[in-house]
Amino acid sequence: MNLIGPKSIASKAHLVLKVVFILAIVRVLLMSIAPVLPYRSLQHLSFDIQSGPLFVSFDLLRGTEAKWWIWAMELVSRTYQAVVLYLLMRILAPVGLGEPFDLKTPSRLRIMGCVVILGSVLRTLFCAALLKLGLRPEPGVWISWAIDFDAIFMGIVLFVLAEVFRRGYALKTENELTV
Amino acid sequence: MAIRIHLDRVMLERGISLTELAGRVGITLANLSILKSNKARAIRFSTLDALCRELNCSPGDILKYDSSGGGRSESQL
Repeated sequence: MNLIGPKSIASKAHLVLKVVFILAIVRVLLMSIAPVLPYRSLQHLSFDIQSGPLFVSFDLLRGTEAKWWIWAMELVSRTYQAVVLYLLMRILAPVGLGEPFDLKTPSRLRIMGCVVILGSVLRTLFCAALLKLGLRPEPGVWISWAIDFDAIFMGIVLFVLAEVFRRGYALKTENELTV
Repeated sequence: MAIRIHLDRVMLERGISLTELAGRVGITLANLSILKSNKARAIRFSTLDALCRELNCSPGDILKYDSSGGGRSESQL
């Protein structure tokens, strides 16, 4: 089976991403409409949220304020995931049609890079705000507001890839207009 | 670019159609249309060679330099 083109792995991956994206949107909408965390989560002494580059773990039983912070962070994180999924889906669409170098792919990769970097900044700000509000984790549970250099590096790599695709598109156009 | 293609004029003089020329030269009609309408960014020597052979002309008959031409600049390529 081919990696790119019609009926290839890329076209099937695009289809899968479409479904996952719709599910992600439904999840974000449900969270926005009903801003309540699952009851069973509150029964546990500590609650882990791991969503993409956002990771925080702290005691939920420290009051409703912490609960709302978790909800806000979870909502931002899920929205962030939905945006990344959407961009990936749009990048894979032309690849699935056998045209990997699309005019809009570079700008989509750049937006994805911005989203990844922004996500890491938001995480840092969120964790710093938690510490400032005194919502400190239990002993042994880690919470850090250090800058996430991995995410920033990933964002920079996405910018580089955007440039690669931009040049690829320019070469493709050049080749198409060479008679 | 100030390079102009005068393929239509040469074709008219030789009385040959675009479809026929495309078939003889061995390139697609779409590509020949791109060349004829001055939208091409580059031309292969092999294409130019085939065009000159079929139209019985020299490259200078097809390609002209027009300094007043307001076509695409190099930076736009």
